[in-house]
Amino acid sequence: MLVTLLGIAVLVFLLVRLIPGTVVEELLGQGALVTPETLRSLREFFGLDQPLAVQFAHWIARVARGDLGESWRSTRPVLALLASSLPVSAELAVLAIAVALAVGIPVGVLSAARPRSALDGVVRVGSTLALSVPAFWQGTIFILLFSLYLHWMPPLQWVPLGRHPLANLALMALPALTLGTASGAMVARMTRSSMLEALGQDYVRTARAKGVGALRVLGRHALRNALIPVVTVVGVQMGYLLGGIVVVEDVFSLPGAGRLLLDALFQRDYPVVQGTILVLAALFMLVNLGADVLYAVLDPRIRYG
Amino acid sequence: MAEAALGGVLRRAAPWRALRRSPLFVAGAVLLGVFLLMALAPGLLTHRSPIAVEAAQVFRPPGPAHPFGTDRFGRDVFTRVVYGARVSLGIAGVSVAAALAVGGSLGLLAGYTGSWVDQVTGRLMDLVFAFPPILLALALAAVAGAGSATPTVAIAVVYAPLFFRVVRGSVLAEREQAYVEAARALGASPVSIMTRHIVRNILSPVIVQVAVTLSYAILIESALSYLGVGVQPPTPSWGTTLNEGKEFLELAPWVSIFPGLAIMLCVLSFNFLSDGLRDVLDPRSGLVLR
Repeated sequence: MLVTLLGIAVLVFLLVRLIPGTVVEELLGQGALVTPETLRSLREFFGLDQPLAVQFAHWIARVARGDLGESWRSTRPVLALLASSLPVSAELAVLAIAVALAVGIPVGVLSAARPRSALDGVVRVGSTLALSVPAFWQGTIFILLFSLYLHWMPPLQWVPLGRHPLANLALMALPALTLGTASGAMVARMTRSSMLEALGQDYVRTARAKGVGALRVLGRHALRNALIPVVTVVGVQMGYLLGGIVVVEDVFSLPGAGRLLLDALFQRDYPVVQGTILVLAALFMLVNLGADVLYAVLDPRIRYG
Repeated sequence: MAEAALGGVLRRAAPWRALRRSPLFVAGAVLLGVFLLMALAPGLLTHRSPIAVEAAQVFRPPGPAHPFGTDRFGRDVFTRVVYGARVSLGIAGVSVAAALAVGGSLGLLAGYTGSWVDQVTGRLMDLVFAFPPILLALALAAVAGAGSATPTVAIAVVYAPLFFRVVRGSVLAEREQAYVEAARALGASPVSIMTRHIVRNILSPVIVQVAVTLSYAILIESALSYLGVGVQPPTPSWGTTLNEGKEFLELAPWVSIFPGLAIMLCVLSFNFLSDGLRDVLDPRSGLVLR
């Protein structure tokens, strides 16, 4: 796990350093008249004259101390930029997962309760449709639908959750719905197939034979076991959501980590790109690890190591 | 001998017959057929050029002359959607083929030989897999700059580990089979066992994976192009057209609506195909059985 994290750090560092065109020339602007001496001293200032290995050693040593460097554009610490933008993305991801679970689980249970029924067919085609919609297009259609045709537009100005919870949630509703759609479809499919498996088990037959009501069998006996694989799906989906936030934050103009990364990419702001990707990739890993641990806690049959 | 040959033909024909009866597979195949026609022979569907600028025809709403309307340069959106199929399907096809070639061959090697090869390649693939796909694609896009090659390389790198895992897992199961032992006893070389015997027996999960990955590839390419780091204008990728439409969303929503619809239907066709294939080729997945 630590090895993977270090590998990610090396990969991120190398990827970003391979970018063509150095930031110094970019900062000075194209066609700017600079003497080779100025250029050299600037490169020296940013540490770009050192060998790659040295640059990496400096960088990783500072990362280990929690210092992700400073933005080359705004000179603000990368950590501060992340501290203000990451909560927005985290809120978006959590809301999206909440939407996905709230819709996906009941839909999956209903379609497993009546396999091969009309409802089951509708769910199957519907979930495939939901998996096929590109998030940026869905968001665009939502904006069109709500602002142009229904004349209900959330405020354009960003408000943090802490200051005006209601205004914030109104602002986040459409982005969360957009981001949660594909995950909801995945959750519904997983719930359906693991419910079908659970319903075929002996303990379900026993419960039915004892005269337990149909709803109770579905909810108490089958669902509790069927939900365990769903936890894994949610863990994996959280990772995909981390990628999805970049797109959704762009569509809805939310000041999250995805926007930070995208803006930094276009401005060739290396430290911000490095820091953001590193933190997001590390979070992705932690979330997956968390899902694995939760999986083992929920299901005593599974033991690692 | 004749009976054995007939049995072989029957066994090979059975999946096709089952596929033809799967409504999902047929729907997916028909949809994909339309997109392939758009990609291979766009001239059959439209006589216009996707990049011809017509100043007098700016932002015309959909109508008889322009079924999908026109964009800010007076270009016909229908024509851009038709030609976009070639760009989007082309990038998806090439990138998934590359991912399959790299991930698949490494997976075959790792699964069959085991030992340190498995260790090294496995670690490497885990590392790539540790990135959320769009993040890695964005990072690669930053390195390679924007352009058609960027999404192609990004998708190939991001999804190679997927094929690695599928192939490696299947090979691990196959290599213990009696026919592998028989081939080895007959003196077949490891290369010949891998390429002639094992590959044929792991095709089913790989084919399903190809269909699934093609749908991911279409989505990633369009997302990258939409964000502005993929295919660059004036090339008519669906994502690029959407990107150009987003500034004029209220003025000309049709510029954004139709290319997005094309992306969705194209991804849908691959999803239907993969679902249909999975039902027939991999009955254990349990999505339809029972």
